[in-house]
Amino acid sequence: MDCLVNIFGRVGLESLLLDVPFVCKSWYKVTLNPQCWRRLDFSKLTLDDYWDFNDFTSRLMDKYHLEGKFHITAFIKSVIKRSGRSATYLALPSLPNDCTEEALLYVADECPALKALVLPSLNFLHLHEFKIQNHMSKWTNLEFLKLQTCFHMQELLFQISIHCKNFIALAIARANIGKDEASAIVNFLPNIKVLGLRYASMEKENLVTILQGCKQLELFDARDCIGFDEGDEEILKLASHIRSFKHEGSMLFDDDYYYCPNYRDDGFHDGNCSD
Amino acid sequence: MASAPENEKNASAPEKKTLTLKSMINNEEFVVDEHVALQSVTIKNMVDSDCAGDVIPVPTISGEILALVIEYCKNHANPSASEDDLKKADAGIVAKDIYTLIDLVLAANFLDIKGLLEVTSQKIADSIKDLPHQDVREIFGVENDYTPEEEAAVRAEHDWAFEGFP
Repeated sequence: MDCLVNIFGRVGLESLLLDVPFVCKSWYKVTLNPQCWRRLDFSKLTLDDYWDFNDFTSRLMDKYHLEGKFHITAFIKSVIKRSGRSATYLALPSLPNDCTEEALLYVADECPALKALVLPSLNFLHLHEFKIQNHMSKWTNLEFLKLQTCFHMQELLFQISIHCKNFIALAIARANIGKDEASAIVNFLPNIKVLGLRYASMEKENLVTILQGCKQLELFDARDCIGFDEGDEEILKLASHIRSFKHEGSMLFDDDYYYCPNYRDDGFHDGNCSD
Repeated sequence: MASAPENEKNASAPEKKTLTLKSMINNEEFVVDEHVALQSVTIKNMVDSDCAGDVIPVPTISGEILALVIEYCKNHANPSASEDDLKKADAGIVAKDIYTLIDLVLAANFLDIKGLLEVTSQKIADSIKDLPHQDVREIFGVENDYTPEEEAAVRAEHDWAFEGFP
């Protein structure tokens, strides 16, 4: 029985919801164990266009006869509920503004064991004055946080440094890393091991601050940034202690003002590319 | 997860101690360095509490599976193996048919070897992932014991989550 729980916890949400329970009765009973629901990756779930559901969503609607009453936030909540507060990984999809806030508030209360949290674009949350940094105290086991955008970086990192003692990995796409942000990374996350700052706007001196201050870095993604040149020798020297330092595509100036990078290739979750 | 458990007894004894593991299914015996075998928490507990004789009987695990388990333990007891080496070696060990994998996961569970349990479970999970339940049944040789009414009831269980919302 324990072996099946272990296996079912690794098949992914789609199989766990749509296939495993229907194999036979004993497998269905095993799926009721909260330990099967520790890894909750909703990132494939989309409701951007009502007439263009992706595969997962349409299979879900089909299998559970949900036509006309599918509510994505309610769905996310019901799945989180199955984890019985034991979820360790959670990735939210892009949701309409109020849904993201509702889902996040629920996650803050119902997922105290989270080690990794992956969030979609927070633009809307900002408009709604939802402050993720106010919820960090709920996730004391958090080790990894991935954001599409970040508006209160210093305050967020401060809260992480107070509440999340095991925190080792941060990824923020399209961040604006000024002097204050770079110092905040060094001061609040001196032991960080993984840093993803792809597409950041970051001047060379601020990158240098981070490289000099964060001595435990093992992976640092600074690709496609604006503010320093790819292959800068001083930077490479400072980064020589990092096992994997990526800097391809970075340049001092943005040559093409209207150039819009293809965010879909960056490994980060697709945000609302239209905004 | 690659590091072999430290054995205090070994520190004082200069010669390498070995253990003999014996499959109770086909009586095959394997002589293994103690520090290799001690990656199994089950065996470690037996040795620590002096329950282990010259030959340690291993019930319900065949010689074929036990050989795979020992191969895994040997790889992970080698201090000079890099992370990449171990990944490759692990992938080789779990590149087996589903029935061997099921035996292997049960063996890893019984012997309590966390790393082996993880890679084997992941491999089995990957083979189920994204397959329709009819195919999963076939792969695992599982009988469908649902009546149509019972299956409908499982589907209906999700309904409550969606009611009351626009």
